[in-house]
Amino acid sequence: MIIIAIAYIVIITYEVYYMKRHSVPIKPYVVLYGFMLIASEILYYFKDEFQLITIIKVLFAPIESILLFK
Amino acid sequence: MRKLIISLLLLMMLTGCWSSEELNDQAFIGVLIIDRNDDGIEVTFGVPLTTNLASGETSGSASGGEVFGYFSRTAPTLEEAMQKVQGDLSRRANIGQNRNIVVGRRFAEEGITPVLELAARNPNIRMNTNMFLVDGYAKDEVAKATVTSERFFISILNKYVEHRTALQTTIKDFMLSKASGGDGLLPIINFSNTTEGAMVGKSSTVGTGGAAIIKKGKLVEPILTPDQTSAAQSIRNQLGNYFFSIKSPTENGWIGLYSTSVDVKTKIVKKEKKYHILIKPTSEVEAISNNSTMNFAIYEEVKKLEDRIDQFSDQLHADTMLIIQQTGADVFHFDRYMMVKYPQEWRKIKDHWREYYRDQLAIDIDSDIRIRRKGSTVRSFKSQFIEHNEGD
Amino acid sequence: MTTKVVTQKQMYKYFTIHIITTIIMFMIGIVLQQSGYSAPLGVLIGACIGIVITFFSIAFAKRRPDAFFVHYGADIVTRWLHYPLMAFIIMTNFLLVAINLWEIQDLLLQFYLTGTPSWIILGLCGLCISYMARYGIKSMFRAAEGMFYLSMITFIIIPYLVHSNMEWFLARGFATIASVKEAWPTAYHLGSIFGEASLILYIYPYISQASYTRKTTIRFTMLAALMVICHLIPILIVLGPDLAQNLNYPELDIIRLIKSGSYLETLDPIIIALWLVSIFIKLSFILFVISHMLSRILKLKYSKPLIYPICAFIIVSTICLAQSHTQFFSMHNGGVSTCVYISQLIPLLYYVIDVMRNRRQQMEEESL
Repeated sequence: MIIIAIAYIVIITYEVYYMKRHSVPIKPYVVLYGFMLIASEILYYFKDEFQLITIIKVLFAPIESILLFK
Repeated sequence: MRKLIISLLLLMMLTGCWSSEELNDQAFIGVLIIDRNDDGIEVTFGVPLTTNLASGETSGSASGGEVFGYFSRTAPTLEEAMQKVQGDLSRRANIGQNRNIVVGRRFAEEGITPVLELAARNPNIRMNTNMFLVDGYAKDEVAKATVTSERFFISILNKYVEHRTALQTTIKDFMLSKASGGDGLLPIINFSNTTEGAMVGKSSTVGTGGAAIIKKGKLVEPILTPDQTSAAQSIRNQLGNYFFSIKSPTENGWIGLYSTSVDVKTKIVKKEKKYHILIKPTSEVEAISNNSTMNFAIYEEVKKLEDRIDQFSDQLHADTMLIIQQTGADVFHFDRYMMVKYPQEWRKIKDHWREYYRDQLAIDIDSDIRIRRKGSTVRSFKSQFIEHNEGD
Repeated sequence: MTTKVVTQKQMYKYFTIHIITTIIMFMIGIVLQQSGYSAPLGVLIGACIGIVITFFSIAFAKRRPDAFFVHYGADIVTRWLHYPLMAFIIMTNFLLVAINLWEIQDLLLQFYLTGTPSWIILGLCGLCISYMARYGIKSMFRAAEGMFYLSMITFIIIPYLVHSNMEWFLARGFATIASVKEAWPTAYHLGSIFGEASLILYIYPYISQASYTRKTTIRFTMLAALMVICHLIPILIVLGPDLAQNLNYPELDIIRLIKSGSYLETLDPIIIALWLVSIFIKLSFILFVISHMLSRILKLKYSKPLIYPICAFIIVSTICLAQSHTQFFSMHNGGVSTCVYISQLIPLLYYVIDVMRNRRQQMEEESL
């Protein structure tokens, strides 16, 4: 978790530095980065209980089994 | 600033060093010897001892110490035995360079399936590892053998396979088909008790001889003789140089012949509701000795000789195939021929393929061997120098 | 004019690499398990499915060749429908990158880098991918242009090197045993991979000589299908269908059976290194498309600053994707292909609605 946070902080610092240099509006990007950071941390925290594959299986497995004539 | 960042980023290239292993910390297994005794399975790692190799250069195994070490342990299962052997080694055993597995007779009788499963599943063991059988207790025979013609025992095994002296059976050959899975021929390594070229205290030398029939992973009798093994090699299209002698068609005496390669074509045909496997060996042989008064210049006599050679080859192959067929072990995996050519009939037969193979499959051999060269002399020594006065 | 930076030849070379790299290393095991001898037939049917999907995307893109789909889609269907559909497409592409990254780290960890934690491998891969994507659209296609010949030589040379192990009588099985019923699962799964070429729609304004896009599509799909079949047939002939079905990575096993000289027997790390570069090119392209779409939807002018964080998010998703090998492989039959198909066929919905709207407008104009 700490590693994810450190990686994100490094990335955000780097991007903000370049955006300031090229005079690009920072605020919308930083909001987006914040969302991604929180989403990543939540995903990582629950990685043992919840795997992303379960979403796909629940949504699409019935359709696929029909299409493949099983 | 930018250079600092880039150089720090380059440090991430060192991910390969996270789990690095030094060459000197590894023991590369040259041969894996597996046998069964009363306490369980005994696994032996044959490892070249690199520290002794470095000091003694050309004098082989004499000065300073052994160049090849055998480390073995016994345990109820294969993997536990491997762990115990690792416990004896001061370096981490690396099985990735291994090319040969030698099994003992008792282990083969009770089933070689654990080895096949280990080799197939473990990503480090290659599927074209050669397998050999020792008719006896493998570890003792191998460890006390004198290695004369090469530096290491494993070099001998590798060269046997490379020069087609021994039959080559790999792990993959046991798994080529489901209906005949676990059937194969294991070449036998002989250890002859002579004292030629032997060191004091060591008594046996390494040689090849025969093959063992494996059915469903277990050894079945009989054991093939060296001649029959050569026939089996030729059916597998692996026969290289082969010396043989044929009785002369003109009178008593024999003619020595030598073939450099035998090209064998196999196919399956259906004749009158029965399936025949047709095996057609073709070869061009040279005559290397003539101990009769046959004249190679006369076409009819050469034709008769070629017919005799064809007969000899047919007979040898047919005898070998009969022996193998009667055990019910489909060592050449003929079921694959049927599967691709007659898939509907195959579906009916495949559940009891081995019984069908033993009782109903007919195997026909049709050799076509021609004499290509007759050597350096025109007439035989016998007819030129000994019996040149006819009617004398 | 400065927007038309991708030439047809670059596209041809890039998409060939894009399709081949995934199928050859990851899908061959599954394809052989499901189809056996019918696999080459399945590849051909899958290629046809891929061509059809891509043609629909190209036909739709041709109607407005200079605008980005993400912008004008909101005019065709309402904003309330457009943004969720775009979000779905973005999520699917996230999933594609995450799945490919997971398979890469699984392959490398199992065979070559045992002992290394997976997040380091993923971090380094992510860094390479995002670095290339950040340079812009030109970088990926230029890289593909460079890697194309090297990759092709490597892929072509493998079947040639194992030819001494082949037992040719088994080739008869392709004619006698193959059946369409067995080939259908393969065709279904591979069709979704061949259809990934429909990503052309999202970068259509960048393509020069756009009228030749259809021809290029047929050419690269056929070349990719040919290369895959050239790998499938040797694997089936050397290993036999029963053994090939049982192996997880038959490609690596077949490389280890090369007999022609001892140094070539350990050729597999070289092949892996070259293949890894090709698959990085593919993943960086998908990452570029994702960031491009996301920036346009959120009405941000620049897509470059989004690339690194998106990549970091994808890496975290890859770590959380599956806990074990078994769970991951159950997904292959559990709906990934359907998900990808749906995201590729969404532009078809837009196409139909666009055509109907135009017709209604024409009828209204005529009646006026």
